[in-house]
Amino acid sequence: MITLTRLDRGEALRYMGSRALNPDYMTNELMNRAENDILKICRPAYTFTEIPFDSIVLGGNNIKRVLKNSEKIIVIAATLGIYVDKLMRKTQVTDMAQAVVLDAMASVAVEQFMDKIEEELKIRYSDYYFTNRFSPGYGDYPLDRQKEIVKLLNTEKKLGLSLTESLMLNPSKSVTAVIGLEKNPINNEEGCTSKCSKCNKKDCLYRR
Amino acid sequence: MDYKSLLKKDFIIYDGGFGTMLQSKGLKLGHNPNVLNITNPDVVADIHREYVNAGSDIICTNTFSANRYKLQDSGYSVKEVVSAAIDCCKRAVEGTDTLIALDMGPIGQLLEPNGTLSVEEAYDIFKEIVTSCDGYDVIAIETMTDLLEMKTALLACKENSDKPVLCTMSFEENGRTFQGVSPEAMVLTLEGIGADALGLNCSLGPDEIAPILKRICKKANVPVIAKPNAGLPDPVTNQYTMGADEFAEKLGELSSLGVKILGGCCGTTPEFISNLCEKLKAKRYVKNDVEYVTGVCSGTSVVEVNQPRIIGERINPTGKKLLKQALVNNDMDYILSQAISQADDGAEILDINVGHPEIDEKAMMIRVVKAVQGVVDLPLQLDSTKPEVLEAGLRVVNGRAIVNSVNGEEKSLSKILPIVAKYGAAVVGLTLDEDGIPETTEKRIEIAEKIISRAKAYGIREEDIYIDCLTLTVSAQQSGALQTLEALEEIKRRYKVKTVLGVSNISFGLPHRPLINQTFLTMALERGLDLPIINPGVFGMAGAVRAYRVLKGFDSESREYIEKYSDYVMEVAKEDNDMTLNQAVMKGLKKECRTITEELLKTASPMEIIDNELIPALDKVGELFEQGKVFLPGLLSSATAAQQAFELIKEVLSESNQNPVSKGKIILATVKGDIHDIGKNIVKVLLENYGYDVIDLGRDVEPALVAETAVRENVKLIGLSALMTTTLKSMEDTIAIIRQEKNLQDTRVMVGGAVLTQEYADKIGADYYCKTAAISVETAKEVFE
Repeated sequence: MITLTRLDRGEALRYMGSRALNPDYMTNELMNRAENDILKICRPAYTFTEIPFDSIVLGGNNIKRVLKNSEKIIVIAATLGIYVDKLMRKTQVTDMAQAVVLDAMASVAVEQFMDKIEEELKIRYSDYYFTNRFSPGYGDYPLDRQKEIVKLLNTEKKLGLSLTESLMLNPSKSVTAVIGLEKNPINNEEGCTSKCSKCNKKDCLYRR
Repeated sequence: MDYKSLLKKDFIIYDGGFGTMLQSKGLKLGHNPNVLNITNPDVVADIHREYVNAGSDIICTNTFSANRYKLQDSGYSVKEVVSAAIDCCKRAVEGTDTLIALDMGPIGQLLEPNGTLSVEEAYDIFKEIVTSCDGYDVIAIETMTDLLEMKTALLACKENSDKPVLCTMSFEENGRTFQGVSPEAMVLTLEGIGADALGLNCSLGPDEIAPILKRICKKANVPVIAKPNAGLPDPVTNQYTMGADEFAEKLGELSSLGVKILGGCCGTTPEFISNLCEKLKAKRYVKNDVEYVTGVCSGTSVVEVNQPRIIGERINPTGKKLLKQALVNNDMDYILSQAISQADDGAEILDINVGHPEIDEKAMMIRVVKAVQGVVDLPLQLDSTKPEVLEAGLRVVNGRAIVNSVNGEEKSLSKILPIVAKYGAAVVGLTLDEDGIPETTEKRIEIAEKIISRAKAYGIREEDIYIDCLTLTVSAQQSGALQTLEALEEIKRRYKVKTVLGVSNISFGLPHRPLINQTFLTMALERGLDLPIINPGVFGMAGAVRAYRVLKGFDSESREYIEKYSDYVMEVAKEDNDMTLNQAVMKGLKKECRTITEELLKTASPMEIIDNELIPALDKVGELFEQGKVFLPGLLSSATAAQQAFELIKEVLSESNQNPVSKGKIILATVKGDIHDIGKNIVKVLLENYGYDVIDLGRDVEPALVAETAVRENVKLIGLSALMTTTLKSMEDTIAIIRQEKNLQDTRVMVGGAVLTQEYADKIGADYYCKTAAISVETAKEVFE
């Protein structure tokens, strides 16, 4: 059972388009409240499975390069659940400033959740080295593979996670990702950790 | 054999899992396993036959995903797949008494407000399945997690078929579905609409379902269903590990909770079912004694009327100018803010009345119900005199609502009560008739009795009738107050009904009305009032109800009261005579902005305040934002603070019947397919602050609606936002439709959104690309100058 305890504020500021490291006073207050609310109402849940190299959930050349030496490939889906979305809808009516902060902090929360899932997997697969994570939409990994991932992992039944026709994950604070597992140390350059400069997804929402 | 005769058995045995069975026969499930009904009918029929032989009284067709949406890439129609599925079942049950259930699962698209699928379309999708062919004996709706989707499916069955409907939802270990539905909300809502049996399936194993099953059995009057998985799956392999014996043993034990219909879901096989049959042979069905408590619910929260409950009265245009204006202007945000503030103030149910001569009441009821249940979790009371408005609202409401109201007039009784019965709602009965409000207590009781007996004839429970003895203005008719209370008390004494009362009318025409209101409310509570309709924002009103609940022992250990009031300070804005409006905006202080504006309005004109104070402050904050000294939340805090000043100015102008200040009308919309509209909402806050009138069409907006609205409202600037690369096409379509409209030749379009670029904006024919929200303000200035 994974629980989140603190959310990375610097990262949240980056999501809000700020280059500064420390928030102004108003923003800081809003972040405190957002953190409390999110940690209280989120219901993190995830599921994963191993897939073969020729799986239809994969696609694009970047990912082939990343996974070329992988012995196992894992695909993960994770979500914070619907209550965060509900709170964001409500907050957009009452306080847009709070809503913007909530949105950014929730994005941070789901990424941190993914990090923790990866830590758990590293314990389970302790003989392996992990490549960076790769998600549909990053690099040249086609966004429409979300369809295959959601189907393969049966996320609708297992997590209450579905996909809209325009390929948005729903609940919105959800992530799917692929990781490769190798027996030898990896000099890992591609995939999405936080190396935006290496990524050719120039229109990425979170590009720095 | 039919379902009715099946009910005479102690237990009815369902079938077990299907997907794993298909795989064990060497079939690949592919994109839609229901297609196998057509491509591999023999295997499908064999599996069904194994369940029949194992002892299933009912087998489910292999149609869990046979809806229009999930079959869209399969090359087959719903009718083809369903009729093939029924044929497979028919072959399997031949020569036996086993019944065939038409199986329906979730559509696979979330309904509004979580997703984009409308209730109306969901209804069509389910209706298509139900009416696609004959040959089934019952309908099984399974694995639902959204109460609104479940309710819509059930309605589609009840309105298009006469077969019994068995409903099951999937709960997680915390006792709720993924969408937050509790067992009690499920029972309350589905029994009302006529579910013939209900319960749970999938998601958990026999060990985990016990507490949830108990809660269902405690409330359900119809037979209860349990169809768990074979335990919890292994997290890595996703295989189920519980054996058939253990499953049968454990589920068999659970039958004693009052479960009538049992079977298995994922991971279970015919062996599980035959073991279960064996186990149940030694057992007898025991029906629970269910004590009925009337109540209402939303999709996620149940309010039982077992103590005084507050109904919030604020969403009602009568005597409320701003709400009237909001309805006429389609300003959902104002209405939603009323819903949220009432919920925060302690309302437990919200009354929704949108009747106004200038608007289409039915369309507005649908719109407001959908919007309100997107932002608050409270059950609703739909308030209208028009049956068609009430019915339209009841169809889209998530959960169980109250209908407000029916009265003693024949035409009201005969039109409203059938609707109440059909949708399983509770109903407010007003003690008035053709002759108006009766003077005497006796006559009011007489009308109440008439309403009660007529409602019961429609199958409505006495407990679900909430009688309103009507409050009269005490300054006009002093004896009226006591008559109302006497009637209320007497009706409660004679019947199992609950009582409801709008309180605020009592003090009309008197000074210091809250005193009278609060005193009358307290008197009414002591005489047996269950549902006061009040403004919960008035301290003494919600406070009186909370205090009453302490004194009567409803609020155990005064917990609720202490939680609410221990840190409560009467709110007063800080006295800071030196602060200017400009400073208050810069600091993002909402209350101060309001009080300072109040002061300023005594000496300055609205336009002066806007031009000399508000706009310069906003410009300054905008500048700091550009320099990276203030962040986006800070910018928005200032904007929302300024909003308080604008709101007040608007109120003042509307009270003096002057037109609100407007620098121009702008339409904003998040395009079709896109459900995340935070970017659009940021732009909206900023534009409104600069004095523009924003017509907010919301998210997932049809291209044609944008053009239509622009023509009707004569709008010169339209802002479109899109978040995903997949929805840019909708943006392009929207612009194309705007360009075709000859009345919109001089209307400009600005676009924005994370994935947009100048290049793309040019390509799709937008006039302006707004990289940031601040640029949209610059654009508006340019267009309107």
